[in-house]
Amino acid sequence: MELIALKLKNFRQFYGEQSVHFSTDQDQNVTVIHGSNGSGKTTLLNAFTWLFYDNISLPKPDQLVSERAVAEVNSGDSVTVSVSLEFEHEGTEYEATRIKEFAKREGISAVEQSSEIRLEFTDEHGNLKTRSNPGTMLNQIMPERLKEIFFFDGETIDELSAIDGQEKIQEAIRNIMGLSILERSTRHLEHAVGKYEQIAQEQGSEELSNLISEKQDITQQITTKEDTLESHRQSKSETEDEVSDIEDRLSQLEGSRELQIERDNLKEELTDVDSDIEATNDDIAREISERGFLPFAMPAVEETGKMLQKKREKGEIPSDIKTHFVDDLLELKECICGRPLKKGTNPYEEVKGWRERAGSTEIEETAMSIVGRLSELGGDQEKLYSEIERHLSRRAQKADKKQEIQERLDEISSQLSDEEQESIADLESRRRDLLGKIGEYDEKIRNLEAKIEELKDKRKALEDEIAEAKEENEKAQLARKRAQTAAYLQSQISTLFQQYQDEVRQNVNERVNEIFQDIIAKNYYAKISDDYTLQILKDVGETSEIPVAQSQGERQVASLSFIATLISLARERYESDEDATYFKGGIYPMIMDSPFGSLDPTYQERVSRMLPEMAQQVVVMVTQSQWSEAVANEMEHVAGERYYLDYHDPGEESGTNYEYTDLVRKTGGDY
Amino acid sequence: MSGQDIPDGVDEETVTRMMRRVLEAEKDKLHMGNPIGINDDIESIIEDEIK
Repeated sequence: MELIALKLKNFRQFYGEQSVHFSTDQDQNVTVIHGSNGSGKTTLLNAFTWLFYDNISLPKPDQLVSERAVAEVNSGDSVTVSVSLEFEHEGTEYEATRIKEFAKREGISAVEQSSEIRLEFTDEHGNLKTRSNPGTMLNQIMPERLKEIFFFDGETIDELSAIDGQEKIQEAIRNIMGLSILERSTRHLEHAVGKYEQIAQEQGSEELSNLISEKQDITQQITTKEDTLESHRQSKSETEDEVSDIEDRLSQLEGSRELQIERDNLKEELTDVDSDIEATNDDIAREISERGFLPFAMPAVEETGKMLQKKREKGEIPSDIKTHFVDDLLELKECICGRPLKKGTNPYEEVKGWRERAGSTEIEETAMSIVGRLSELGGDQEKLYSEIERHLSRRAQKADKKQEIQERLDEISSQLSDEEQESIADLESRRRDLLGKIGEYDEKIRNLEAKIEELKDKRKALEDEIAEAKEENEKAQLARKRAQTAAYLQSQISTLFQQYQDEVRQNVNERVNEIFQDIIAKNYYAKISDDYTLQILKDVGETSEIPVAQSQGERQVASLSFIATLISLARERYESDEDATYFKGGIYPMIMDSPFGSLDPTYQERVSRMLPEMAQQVVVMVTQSQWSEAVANEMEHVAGERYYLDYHDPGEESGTNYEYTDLVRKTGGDY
Repeated sequence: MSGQDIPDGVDEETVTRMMRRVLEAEKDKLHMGNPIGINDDIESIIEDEIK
């Protein structure tokens, strides 16, 4: 979506017709609107949301009409309020207009008489046409649930990074990156599967009906158990976090620091030892897989070797005469001594009889090579035994080491529990309790996983039975086919969703962090956690990361980075050749009231440097204090259009008792 | 019904087309918090393709 122009008529404090033309220059893609506090910056932002969604977030939201416009007409006369936006979207030019007519009552009060939303566009032949579903279309272009992403107030945008911002972040990622389409599809297809199975059941035989019932019952059990499993996993994860917090705390307390550090190191070592043991087990398994047959085969091998050797010793292999030599003589019909060999004659039969004791060249060569190989196998068997012995010895060493480490860990735990300092002992005691709980969760999880696997196997068997069930009823057959197809589509889309979700999360994380680190001065980084919390973290040691105590400014930068990430990723996808119905991407502008919010001068400068790169089109509304010298230096050369909000105080303006604001285009000089 | 194997009598082209149609239908109603009629839309697609 590329913004072209916004026109206001009698909208709030904007008296009469006012307009803004947005910069569409690629190199000077920023439109700057200057205005002091109260001059109408937030109202201008709300003009967009009122147009798109008939929704504003301002004091006295019902008072849409310009007070001055109402004051100037007689009682009963009407006043028109409208907001229009010209824009381009996916190659088509549109003009969206929301109009409301108000009738004046007394003073400056007015009541709404009519309301209309229009969306006109120019078709490929240059004709002006009107969309029949303007509200729907506008919502598709700029979904209302994402309005805080595209039209935002810089002073409250830090809420995205706040603890309860997860839902908005999840919504934004899923919606803009196409995940919602995939996720919804799988749910709705599930509904279709259920419906067609129901029909198949109703139309089908009793046998089929019972099988389907049984399958539905098992599916329900699986769902319930999976919910419980997820709950246990969540609880386990929370408990592990609590253990981790306790260990962090212990590493900070003087009485326990050293022991906790030693414990941390030992746990790492234990992980390495476990990995070694696992690797050794794999080596043993591989040896057995490749050469494990040898001990069982050796008796037969030895006997075969002896048999072949005997034949050699007797001269049976290699034989004196080869079969092909005998065959050649019979074919030539002449012996080597010159005697003719006619079929049926004694010489012929005698020579033919030599075949009995002649040897095949191929067989003899093979036999000789077998003899050679058989003698090597004996060596291979020795090698197998020595390798397995070596692995077992190594594994035993590692097992001893593991035991040693575990004993030391137990010792440390006992020492901490005996610690005189009460808080340390309490912490260690709590830690042990929590580890016990984790153990319980592990067992419950294992049991549930096994049970779920069992139920899934049962369900698969039922599905196979259902598929095979002979069904003569055509309607049932058709319903079953439709259910199978819906289920297949669901599984395909679900797989796609899982793969794509991981890819999206990684892409979003990388880009958010990239932008965040370009702005932030400290050694922090931004990350979106698995539960969609926008976190700011710092590294502790080589492997740990902890959330920082975020300032409002840092949260604001993180939120801005997140928004810029989505807009840039959507744009990249739109401009790429990749074809995916669920995510074609799009071009979105960034429209910000007070983008610098509560940022200090250093961050204001850095943000202003990054802003033009964050979206194809950027619209910022700033106060004079926010337009510092540093910001002006960064933004003046990229500001393709500049306006200021000329506020008129009723006390100062002659001829009117009502406040109003003019939108004035800036054509040069300082603001 | 197994969701893992392509059903008998349904070809790959049909499945691809159905997937595209389902996703388009979802996309058209993405802006709705509660996509009214989407189940009917999807069933129409399935019944149109699998006869």
